[in-house]
Amino acid sequence: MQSIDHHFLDDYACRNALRGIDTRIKLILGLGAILIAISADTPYAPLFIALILSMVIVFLAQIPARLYLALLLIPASFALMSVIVILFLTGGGVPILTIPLPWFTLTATDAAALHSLIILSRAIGGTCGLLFIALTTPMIELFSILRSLRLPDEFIDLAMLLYRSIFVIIGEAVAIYNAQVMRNGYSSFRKGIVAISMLASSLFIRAWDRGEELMTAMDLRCYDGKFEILEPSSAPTISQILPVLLFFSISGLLAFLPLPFPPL
Amino acid sequence: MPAPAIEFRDLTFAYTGHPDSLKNISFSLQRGSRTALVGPNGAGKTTLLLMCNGTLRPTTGEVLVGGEPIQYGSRQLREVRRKVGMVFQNSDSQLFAPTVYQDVAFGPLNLGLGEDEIRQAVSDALFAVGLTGYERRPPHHLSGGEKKRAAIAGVLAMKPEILIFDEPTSSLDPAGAAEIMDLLEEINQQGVTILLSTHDVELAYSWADDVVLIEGGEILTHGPPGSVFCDADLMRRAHLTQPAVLSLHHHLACRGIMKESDPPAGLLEMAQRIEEMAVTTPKIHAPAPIYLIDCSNGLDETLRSLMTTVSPLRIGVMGTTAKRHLAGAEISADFTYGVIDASILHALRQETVVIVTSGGMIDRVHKRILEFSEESTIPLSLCPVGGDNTAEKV
Amino acid sequence: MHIMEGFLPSPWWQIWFVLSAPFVIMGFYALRRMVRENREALPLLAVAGAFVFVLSSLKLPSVTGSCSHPTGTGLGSVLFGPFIASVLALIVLVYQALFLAHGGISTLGANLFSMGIAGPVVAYAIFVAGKKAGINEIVTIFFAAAFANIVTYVVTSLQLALAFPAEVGGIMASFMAFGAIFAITQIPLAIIEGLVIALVFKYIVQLKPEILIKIGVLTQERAERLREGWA
Repeated sequence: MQSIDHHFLDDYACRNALRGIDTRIKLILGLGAILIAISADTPYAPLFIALILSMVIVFLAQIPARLYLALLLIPASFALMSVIVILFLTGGGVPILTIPLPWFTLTATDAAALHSLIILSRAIGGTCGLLFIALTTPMIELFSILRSLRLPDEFIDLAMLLYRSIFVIIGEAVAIYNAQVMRNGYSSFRKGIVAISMLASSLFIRAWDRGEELMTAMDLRCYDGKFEILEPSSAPTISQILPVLLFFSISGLLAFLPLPFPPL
Repeated sequence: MPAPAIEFRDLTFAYTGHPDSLKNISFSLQRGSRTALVGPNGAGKTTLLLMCNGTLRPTTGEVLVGGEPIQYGSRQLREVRRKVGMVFQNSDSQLFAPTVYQDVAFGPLNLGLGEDEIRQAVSDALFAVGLTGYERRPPHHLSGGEKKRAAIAGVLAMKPEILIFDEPTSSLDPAGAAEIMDLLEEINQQGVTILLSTHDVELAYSWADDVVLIEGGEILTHGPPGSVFCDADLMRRAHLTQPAVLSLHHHLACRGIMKESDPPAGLLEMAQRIEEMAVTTPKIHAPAPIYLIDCSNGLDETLRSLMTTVSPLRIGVMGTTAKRHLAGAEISADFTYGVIDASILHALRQETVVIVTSGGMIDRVHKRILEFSEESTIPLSLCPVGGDNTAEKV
Repeated sequence: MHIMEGFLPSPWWQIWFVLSAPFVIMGFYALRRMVRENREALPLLAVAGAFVFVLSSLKLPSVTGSCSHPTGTGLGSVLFGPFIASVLALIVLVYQALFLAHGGISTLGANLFSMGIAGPVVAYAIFVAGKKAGINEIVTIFFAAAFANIVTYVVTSLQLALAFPAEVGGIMASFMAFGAIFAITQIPLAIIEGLVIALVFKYIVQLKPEILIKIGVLTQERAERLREGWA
């Protein structure tokens, strides 16, 4: 079992080169990209989106390319398994691949293949949009947006306290985990189950203790039900808005113009 | 005689189902004092501190803040907690907001201050602890010392009259610990009563003007550091060791080299006494000058010109304003804590020193150097320079 | 298991948001009520949610060698009830998408429905039923956590099947296919997570039962009886 990684994408977001750009612009860019990508009927728009956003992430935001590639691969097994089902089941059109199995025959048709390509491209485009948001927008900047969405105050307070608590608890998790590894806690499957259960229960108890300390800490500073929200530090500028509009225009056109696929 | 800042009267406390953690505690803290509660682990220090702001309620006896007994209704408790701020040993327990700004603003916000007032309070508090510019940082991106300072800022923003620290330097490296103690000194200068718990006797000896020794839930003694720490029996009972300077003094006294009574207040005084007794003829060289730069209005070229014309030059910096100016000018200081005493020690070694500071600390420097010159009959020369000061000898 | 970003087409990704919304809104009301009645609720829920997040970022030991993460939302439901659990799940899912790149924003509705609503409801129902039937809590927790996982995976398969019906056999065939292909990883995961959560529960009862008594999951007598049984 590999070590617990206590570095989240949020840390990269806090240090990325696009940190200074207005959060709302970045969010609109990312969400808009995902929306256009999943609404397209041909792969052109999603792949365009994937290409542009990937370049922005690696070259403008200066996220290490290796990390970015590793992140793109995270949903790979899910994508692969799902697409296999879609490829062999959704059918329509001319069969291009048949795999005879003892109890039934798997048939992939050309329509299914095209369909699978579109689905995969949407997934890639969408994932790039998600990663764009994850890698360029620190969570601390998003809480004020939650408030402007008129979500309940208690919910936002909970999200903020939860956010901070994650980092305290993950620190404890790493410490406990390392202590276990040093005593060969994970050397077999069975030991691993026991070890991780002990890790989780210790973590739970420490988390709970922290919760009670938290209550004391809040009371110590006269808690009266209120939490401060951090206001945005910048405003969108024309030089930020124009490229985004251009990007949306091109990807929108690619998505909604009746372009032929496959290209003849 | 104004009411003591905090007073404990016949206080006992036991956690439910456990034997007494605190027995018959009675003592009081004077306003503006710097008190150290010293004792081994498990002595009851944290428990006692938690009594001071109503977090724990005594089983018998009472706690008085500003002469008034603490009432345990929620509104009265909020008032107590505004007056009596507390900083935990573990800063992670105390920083709970996603960013430094939000965390420091928590106190003022929940006290009902308006938005502009909150912004001002946060800005002042962050400035006081030297964390201006850290507003948008999440706490997990701060170092241990920065977290401690952020926790202190959160409490300072509520403008408390009394500040309580549970083991303020426990998880800090020596530099970080020195920074915090310097900060506490500065806060105390502004009139805030400070009570801290520690098992670091060196810290208590050098910083406190009042020491309470606690062990097994009972107060062993209460008095000025000199008298408390010299009592070897009490120190042993409290599972503590003596500060090195006192231990040295005691041994020298046992050998008849020094007098047992009148223990030295610190390293400087000890060095003075030893020099006075040196068998060889003391070299009577005039001490090097101590320059003083007031940087309240910023740092001008005086310091740099001193650095080029005088060598070796030791630079001491006191207070957050001065430290920030120095950091901005990318000049590193040689001492940041116990600056006055260290400066005197170096001046006596013929090493020129310059002290950079501002505000109320300027007077302290003058006072202490005058005091030392009179007591030791060594003519130290303190030379304020820079701005429109002309060099004048003290 | 999470449906990755961008995988669900229109109108399905929107439909799942709409279906999840009522539960989340009920959850908001439950949260407000809980926080008003008990000022300790907010910090305790925050740390519980953080715990669920951290738990979900751990890698479980697996037989197949594949990478699997616990979901943890079943435990949240047993402790706080399904409505609060859905609110916690919402926050955890967003953080998982933004911090770990697990799941997605367009698929938030679908993932919330499977992992944050269906799973917890089943976990809660099993736990309450088991309590009423007087079955040993550890056994009940095992089934609650394991079935929460199974239900989550079944619902996810259904979500995929609805979005991608088969040419021959329609939604049903698709559902069987998705179910079959994911069973390889999800069934062992469900059992392992059930085991782990049950063990976690056992250790908590042994080390600090006060927590469970305080939330109301166990009574003092029950905790003592359990501990005696293991002594």
